Amino acid sequence: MNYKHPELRERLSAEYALGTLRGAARRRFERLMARDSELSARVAAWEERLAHMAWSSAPVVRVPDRNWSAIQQRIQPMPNRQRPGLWNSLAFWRGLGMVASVLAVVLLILPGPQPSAPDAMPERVAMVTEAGSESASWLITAAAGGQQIMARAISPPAMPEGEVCVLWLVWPDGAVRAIGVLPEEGEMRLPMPAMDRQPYQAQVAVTIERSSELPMTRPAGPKVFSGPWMQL
Amino acid sequence: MPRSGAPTRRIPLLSSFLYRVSAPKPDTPVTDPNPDLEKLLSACALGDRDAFQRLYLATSPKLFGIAVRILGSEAQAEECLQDAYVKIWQRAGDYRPHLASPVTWLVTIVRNGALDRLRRNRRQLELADPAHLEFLMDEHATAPGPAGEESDAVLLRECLKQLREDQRRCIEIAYFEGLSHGEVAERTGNALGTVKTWIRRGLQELRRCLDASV
Repeated sequence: MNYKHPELRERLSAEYALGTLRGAARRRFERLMARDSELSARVAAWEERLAHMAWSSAPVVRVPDRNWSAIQQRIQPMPNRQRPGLWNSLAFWRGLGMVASVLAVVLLILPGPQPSAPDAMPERVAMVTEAGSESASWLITAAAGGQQIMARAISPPAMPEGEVCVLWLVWPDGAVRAIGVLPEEGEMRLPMPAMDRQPYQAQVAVTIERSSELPMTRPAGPKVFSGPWMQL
Repeated sequence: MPRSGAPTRRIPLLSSFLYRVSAPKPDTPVTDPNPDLEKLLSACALGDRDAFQRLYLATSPKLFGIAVRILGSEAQAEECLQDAYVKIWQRAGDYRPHLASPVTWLVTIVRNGALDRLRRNRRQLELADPAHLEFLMDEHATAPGPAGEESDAVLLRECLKQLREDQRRCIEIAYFEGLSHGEVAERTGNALGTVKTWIRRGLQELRRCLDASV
């Protein structure tokens, strides 16, 4: 398809915003939109039109008062409940104070802790690049035998509301482990799940998932990248 | 909304009278005639609960209407609305005025939440009684907008009226129920090609009408 044709761009933008553009066509359109600001502006304009259509065509419905109380309760910063038991026990706090003082003295006497070990040198690297894109979306590095995984966003695709890119390790025998959600910007350490497998024997893969379905044990969404680790 | 600590405390009768006058009447829940939603959202981002309440009063009847329209059930829509406002409170700081108008941002949060819920439940949920949906849609066609409605909403209403009934209906079903062309065709009992054409022409028409009037 020739995505340069203005009429087609307009039609696809409208159908993307409406939600009738589906499947592979939708994903292809999303990839195009990520690096075509004119296209994403068209989509934004359609989202405006349709949201205002919804706003003015939906009926005004009286909301039951209990709804507001329920919301208020859910946005309380911390429930200020009086908890009986240990928390309110003077003896407990006295005891804790005593122990803490002793600990403080002990720590003063002991030699200070060694400066914490700097991050291990990266041993493997994977460039996550979308098919057809020239620049990398993320740089994934692994250190300490694969126990430390860092993801740095370079030019990640813009994700629609409610969807995220998830990093996976996929072994040749089909075993799959979710490593985490890739950051939209900056660098992030992804917690490595405890596993009995060699991280470096796996392929690195990225899928698009609905954030409401996380955490997940197997990918459900489309795979947008898959590649091996490169040794440094 | 109790006005605790109001200066009129010494005259309890007067204060309760004032409260009754200023409290939202059951049938007209929109209190603030023309609130600046953008300002309210940025106040929410700073943790201003009063602003959040004003935002809620100004927008919840409409957003509830949208959730009911999508889910076809008031009980489901209530839960959906609660989730949506908790999200709005938590993510008000993510709102970017240059990317979307406040209404679009709010509607998108509610619609996404409601469609997620709909898809999750679709297997167990008996599909909403179509007669109920028809009733809701007929209601909006004639009901006047809330007081203080901005002129672009009136304009949009006019543009929607100009669409052919079948075009408008297909667009609304696709939007509110998250359905594909094929599913809309199945739902309305029309041929797939016909539905595609109606939706395409309807969208073109909508845009032409809105752009011409700006």
